[in-house]
Amino acid sequence: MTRRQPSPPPKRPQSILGAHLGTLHMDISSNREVILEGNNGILEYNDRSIKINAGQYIVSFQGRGLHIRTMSERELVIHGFLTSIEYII
Amino acid sequence: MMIVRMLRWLFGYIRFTLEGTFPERFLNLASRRGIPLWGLTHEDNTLSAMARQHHRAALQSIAEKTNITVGGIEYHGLPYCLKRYRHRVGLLIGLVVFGLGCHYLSGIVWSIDIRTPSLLNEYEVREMLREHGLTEGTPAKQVDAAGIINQISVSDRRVSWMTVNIMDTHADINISPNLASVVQRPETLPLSNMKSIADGTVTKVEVYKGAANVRVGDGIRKNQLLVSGLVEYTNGQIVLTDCEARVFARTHRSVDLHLPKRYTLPRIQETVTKQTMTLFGLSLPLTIQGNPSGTYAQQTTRQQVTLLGHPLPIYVTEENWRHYENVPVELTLPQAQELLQQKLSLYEFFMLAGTQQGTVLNRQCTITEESDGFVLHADYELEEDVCQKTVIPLEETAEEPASPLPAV
Repeated sequence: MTRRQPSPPPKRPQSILGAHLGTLHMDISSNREVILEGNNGILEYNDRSIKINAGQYIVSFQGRGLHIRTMSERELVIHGFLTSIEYII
Repeated sequence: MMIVRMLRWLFGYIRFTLEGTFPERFLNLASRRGIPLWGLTHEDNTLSAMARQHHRAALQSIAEKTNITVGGIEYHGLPYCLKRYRHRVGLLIGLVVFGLGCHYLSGIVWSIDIRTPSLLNEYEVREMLREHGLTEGTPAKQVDAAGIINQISVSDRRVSWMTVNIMDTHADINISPNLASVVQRPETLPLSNMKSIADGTVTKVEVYKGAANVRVGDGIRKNQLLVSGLVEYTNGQIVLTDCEARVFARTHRSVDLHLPKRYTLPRIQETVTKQTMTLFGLSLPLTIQGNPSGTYAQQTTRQQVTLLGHPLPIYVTEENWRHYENVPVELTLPQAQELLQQKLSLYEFFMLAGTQQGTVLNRQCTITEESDGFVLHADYELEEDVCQKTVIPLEETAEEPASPLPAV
């Protein structure tokens, strides 16, 4: 009896810039809003810290009153008072 | 962003809370399956989010897979509003009636703003427009602006040109007068002299046309020739002209005003107030009052109702009917003084209106009580224009038959 192989997950569409570079693309507006494209998932989420999996590294946002305003397959919008952005490699 | 919010409300959305050990996994799986989430907030170890309502089943399956409890589901948006009010037919009918009402009312003339010179008053213009089919409540599409302009311009000589602009529910009327219809110029200028209307002493002479016969300081009598229309130039030419001059003189006038002791004073006995509301030309009485009989003085005020500064086609007319009755009273001296002063004020008003730019230099008044009443005697010293134009009747003298020559 042969085991049925699971179908591979659908390929994620990426932004033009993200697909070209194969990396996470961030738009930072002052210290109030960050728009991320091409992330691999959320690792931690609370109002003081949000950690995003960017594939080969992790981006950590620290601040106050942080919340995800919109989250879709392609992009993520973080809003709040950012105090630091850290790259964990 | 506004359009996105509106679309979310139109299609309906749910708000839910996530409770569990690792809600981030739930978010990641939802993201992988292409389920957009928004409004994610993290408070008191509880994560709440919003999603489209048709993703609810998919979210439930993700929650089961990730061992997360989805709770506190709230339904928002138009589909849930309609579902909530589906048994209220009256509300739906009200909405339809409101929409139809808005559609109908936006197509009719609500207010008419008339800008007219003093030659034509607003009431006359409003009546003319009514005759030609433009009044509050007329459908704006039925207003024939060009036809109204043509008809009124032809029928009324006082109108030089006019504009009728219909702007949505507002009609703007602008009228320019035809001054040629008012100014009536005589075909031939009359020839005239200036004569005095009172005795006095000349204080100022201003002659524009004609030959002055008096100088400042001269004493003049009534009907004396002040300015002659017969002008003789130094070259010997004699010209007859229409005099234009002003001769000011210091004059005296006196007047006696009588007031009987038994006098009838008008007193208000009763006041009746009627209110009427006019909506698109339809009058609706607000008070149940008939027209009173007897001697009444009526005062009417008409006010247009406005909403946030915009005039509405609603007028409130208030009529005050005051019933006056003449009551005989025995006058005392202070009452008589007050009434005589009022009469004297009226006399001065009309006397000065009758004179030409007259000013009162001095006035002395005495009130005496007599057996039958009170008498106020007033002496005035005035400075006034005493000129009065008298036409020289040339044609009549020319038509007179020549007197026969006496026989020699």
